[in-house]
Amino acid sequence: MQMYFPPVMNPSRPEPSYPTQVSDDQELVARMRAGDQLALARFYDRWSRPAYALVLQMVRDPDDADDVLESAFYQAWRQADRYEPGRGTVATWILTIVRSRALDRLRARRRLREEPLVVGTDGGAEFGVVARDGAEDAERRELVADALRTLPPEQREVVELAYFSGLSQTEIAERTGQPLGTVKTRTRLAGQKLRDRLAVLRTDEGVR
Amino acid sequence: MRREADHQEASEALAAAALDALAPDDQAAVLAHVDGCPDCARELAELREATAHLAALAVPTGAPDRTAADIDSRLARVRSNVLARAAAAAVDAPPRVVPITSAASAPVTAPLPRVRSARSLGLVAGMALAVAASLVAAITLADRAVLQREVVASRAAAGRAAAALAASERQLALVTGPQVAVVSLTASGAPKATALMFWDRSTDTWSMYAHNLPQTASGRTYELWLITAAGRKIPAGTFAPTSAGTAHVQATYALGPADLQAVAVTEEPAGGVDVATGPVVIAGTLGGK
Repeated sequence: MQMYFPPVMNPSRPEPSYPTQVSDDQELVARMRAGDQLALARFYDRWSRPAYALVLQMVRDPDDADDVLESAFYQAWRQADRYEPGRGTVATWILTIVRSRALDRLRARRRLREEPLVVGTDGGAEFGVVARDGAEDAERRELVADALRTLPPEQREVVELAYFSGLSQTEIAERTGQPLGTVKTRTRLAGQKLRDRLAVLRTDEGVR
Repeated sequence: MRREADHQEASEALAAAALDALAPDDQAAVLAHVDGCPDCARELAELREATAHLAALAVPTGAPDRTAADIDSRLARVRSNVLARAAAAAVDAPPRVVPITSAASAPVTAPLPRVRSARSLGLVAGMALAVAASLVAAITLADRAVLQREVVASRAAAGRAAAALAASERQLALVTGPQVAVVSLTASGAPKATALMFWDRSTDTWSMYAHNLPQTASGRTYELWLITAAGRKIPAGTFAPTSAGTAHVQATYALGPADLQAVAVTEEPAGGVDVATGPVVIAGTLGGK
């Protein structure tokens, strides 16, 4: 049996907007900057899944991933005033923070012991385990997967090793046995291609 | 010694910089150039934007037993921790709205002093750190790596414990104050879910403790609403019950003494909504009217 709000709570006239109504990420971040913790909760609810997928992909250990996720979102809360809309989307901002904290964890672990290297994405086919996103997100993911797929394999490898495994160019050169200069060239070319192919997302997404 | 890369050197390394794949010194040298070069700054921003999209391809593997429920409960636990830390850090600047989900349901017996200063929190963290530090000093040649990890873990645990303690103290104060009004929420359906909402009018803080809440379906969440006499439904946070069916949600929202019509919990799509769409799970009115 379902129970719905009685009519008195469901006025037929349009509701006036009220302070807690949220329309976009930028407003959420602005409210976080002002100390609004409901905004932080909403922000977490919007971004924790993609963030968690990234962290798990990078650090592989669920408990480590929990820690990294927590410190990343707490950092976003503390540093909400550092977000500048003119310099990128909220998506880039939060995912950059999340990745930086995951990199810290990866690099700390590597200092402690030789970390077995696990590499690779499959273009997102298994992503559904964590992702629970709408059609728009699926479309974006497909576009990104396409952009990565169209890179020559050696460029794609460099991007994956750098982005997901957190390796430096020097480390990539060591792992792949390629000269450092070659790795640098591949990184540069791959970056430019990704930027060009994903430019459509930049304009589509606007200042999301 | 910090140097600044020249334009040629920097522009060739921007993609690597966007991927954080440069050695720290080189990264600093490139960023130093970028600071004064609008062209490189724009290109780096675009490259960062493009590489950030790669996050969408993350493939969490390596734990075949990981289920959606496991991920949900992990995400909910991290959410509680983040919000508790944010709340604990906001002692100086009181939060406007603080939804919290946690398993903690401390027995309410007697009034406590109101929120303590952050000093007790610092003391707890400080003591734990001192213990961890003395351990490190005592065993100089032991496996340094293991100890380092333990220090990091201790620090994190101390932080969590201190935040949890501060949160508990605040919660007790918020349900025992002289200006606290109570709303009893009940369900009409078969599972006998109940909740009590404490409205501390002196601080506009709302604390709800719920029991016997059924687990939400995958992709769904509970959302708390304050419903005004004028019919406005104010979202006051989403939450997931513990495996035992309990939940605690805390929110701060200013309402006039006569403005509250009812309190309700609905089931909504994960992430919550700004306008209620789902069925009411439990609801109640002030004074049981």
